[in-house]
Amino acid sequence: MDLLRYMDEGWRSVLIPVGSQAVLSLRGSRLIIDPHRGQTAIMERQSGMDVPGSDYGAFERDVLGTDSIERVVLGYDLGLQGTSFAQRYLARDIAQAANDWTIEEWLPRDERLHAMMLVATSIPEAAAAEIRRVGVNDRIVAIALGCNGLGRPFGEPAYHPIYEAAANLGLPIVIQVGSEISGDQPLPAVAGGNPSTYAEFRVHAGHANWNHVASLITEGVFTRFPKLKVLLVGGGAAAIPSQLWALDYWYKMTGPAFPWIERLPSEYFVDHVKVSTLSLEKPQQPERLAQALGVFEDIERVLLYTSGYPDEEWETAEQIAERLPAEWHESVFRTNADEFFRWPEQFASSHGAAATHGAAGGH
Amino acid sequence: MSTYSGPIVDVDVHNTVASPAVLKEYLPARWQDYVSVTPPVPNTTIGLGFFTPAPPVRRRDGGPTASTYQHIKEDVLEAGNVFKAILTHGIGQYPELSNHDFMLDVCRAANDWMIDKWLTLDDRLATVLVVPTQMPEEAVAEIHRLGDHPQMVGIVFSSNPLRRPLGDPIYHPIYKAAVEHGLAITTHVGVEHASVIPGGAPSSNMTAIVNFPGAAGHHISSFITHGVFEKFPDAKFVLKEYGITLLPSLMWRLDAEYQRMKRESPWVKRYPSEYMHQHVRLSTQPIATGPRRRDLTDYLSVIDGIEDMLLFSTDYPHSSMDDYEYAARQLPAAWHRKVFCDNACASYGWTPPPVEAERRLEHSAA
Repeated sequence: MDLLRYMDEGWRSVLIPVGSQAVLSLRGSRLIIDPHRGQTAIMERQSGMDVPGSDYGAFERDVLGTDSIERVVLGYDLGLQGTSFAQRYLARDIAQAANDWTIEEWLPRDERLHAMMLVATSIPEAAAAEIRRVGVNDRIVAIALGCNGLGRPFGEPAYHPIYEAAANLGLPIVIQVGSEISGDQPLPAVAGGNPSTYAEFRVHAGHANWNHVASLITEGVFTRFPKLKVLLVGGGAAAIPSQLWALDYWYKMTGPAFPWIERLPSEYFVDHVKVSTLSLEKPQQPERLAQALGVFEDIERVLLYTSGYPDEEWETAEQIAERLPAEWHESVFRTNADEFFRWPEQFASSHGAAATHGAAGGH
Repeated sequence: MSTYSGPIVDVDVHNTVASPAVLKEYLPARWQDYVSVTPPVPNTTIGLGFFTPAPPVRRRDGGPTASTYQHIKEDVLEAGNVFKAILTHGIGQYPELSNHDFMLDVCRAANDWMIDKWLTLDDRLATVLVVPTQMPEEAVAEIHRLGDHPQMVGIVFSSNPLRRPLGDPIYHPIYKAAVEHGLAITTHVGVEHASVIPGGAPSSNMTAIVNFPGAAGHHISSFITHGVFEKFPDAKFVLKEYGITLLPSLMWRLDAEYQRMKRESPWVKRYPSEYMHQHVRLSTQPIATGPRRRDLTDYLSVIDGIEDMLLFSTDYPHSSMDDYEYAARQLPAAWHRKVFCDNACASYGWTPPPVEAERRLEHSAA
């Protein structure tokens, strides 16, 4: 409902009569919903409670309240699915409204707040235009790809205008669990067909991200945009060695099909891709996690802490730290994020006058 | 460098029809003309049309590679100390044919051809039944027709025309019949039609292949969440050609969902990893690993007892085939006997040949 204020007359006249639920839920038709969680959410709404993550007071307490938090990047929760409408002009305008809402209502509240901007990918040229419109705000530090608008792996040429706009502004790309949904393509939520249970979705939801990684590398996105970076969110990390070994193995075998690739896929991966700690595995013997991850030599450069707040499995930095070796902490909790996001000072030094300051009356 | 000289069971060897016409002999009269216009090897593999590397083994005698017993005998059975080899057609995607009636007869023909032209020639050969999975009742009938053949050790899904994850209830009658005949439920790469790959259809062979382990993982969790192993406590689920490194992250992620499963799927009684240790086996090929010698072992050994879940395979004669010397170098020597022979013997009900040391003891006693 909050977003309607940022949408034009036409959409308001269409959406308001439909009732708030239609817009509030912002859910694509293929989202797998945990039946138990769904019920809780409905009860909360009926009792007048806020949508998780929408209450700034709670957010301030849960996330900003810790002294060790220096910077926070806001993403989107179900808003991501708001871009999965098959009505692609609506998807485009929802993304625009979400960006305006974030910039006007969230960023001014605390200097530590930064945000990803959201793009609807079903009209890549429109997404690129939105990046050029919003990406000049210096508190926008990354681009969250919404749902898979064309139902194609994200490395495919049709999406390249998005990466070109991102690269020109030095903004990295974020692909999250949730982007496996497509508005008008019959894509399954996980590999092998749609799951019957939410447990299966939780286990396998990150898989689509690996399809996207293989696509981004083999379609030459990183050769064409050598500074472009990508963050994968929500699929855990223990599969990283396995997936990269498979990529390298098959590349060595089928390499001639990709003359534009100059290095091993795992080398592109280390230079361009980060993996979020959201949904990081929790083996019963916690030290085994470091053993599995550690076989990939550059793992420290790859992992990047994200809390996932207010997802039910969100974790504080302290909780994640308990499962990772102390010598990785500096990279995972600080330097990888420093290098990955386009922070205001980096934007100022590269774009100078072009930057507009995020919050009205901000710094 | 570790080597292995003990007995070998190769669980994934592809023998192929020299041409579709080979199956005509086993098809009813009404299809004789139909075959000439509709090749019974369907064009459904998502890899078709992509760049495919040349296989390392290329025979120039007697037709296409792997189309004659002589090829398999020389290249597989006599290339090492092979105790048993399981033929997996080439790869047997016949159930995908869209004309149901024709599909049914082609599946039967392929099974009859396998017995007639292959199994009768060598006791070391075993095979898996191609079952018409889009007609579950007919699949059950086919299992009852041939399931008791002594060299028949499994049923195979190399395509998935219903596009359902493999634990789906629609398949349970098939599994019931398979278990009654002591057949392992097998799936082979090829089951992953492009339409069931999340994120969109891959555009190349390489990007397709790296999606397969994700699908395999989902088939395993589908078996668990739909209670297949509770319903059929003797069921064995063998997955071929997905590699083995999918196991650690899958087992951890499944176990982490155990509490949720107990609400959604109350018939799940044990940790998913326990079901997997008992019921799930993976063929080893292709063994992809990191740059350092110990990478693979370090990664796999985060799961205690993982070596009990692995079955050696070559995937002869396909492009990514592993020979047994390569596999022996990649896997710790302490796992060799299990992975190369004993695990497969336990899964398929064979008495493993005695180990060399025992043989020597027998000699000295005599």
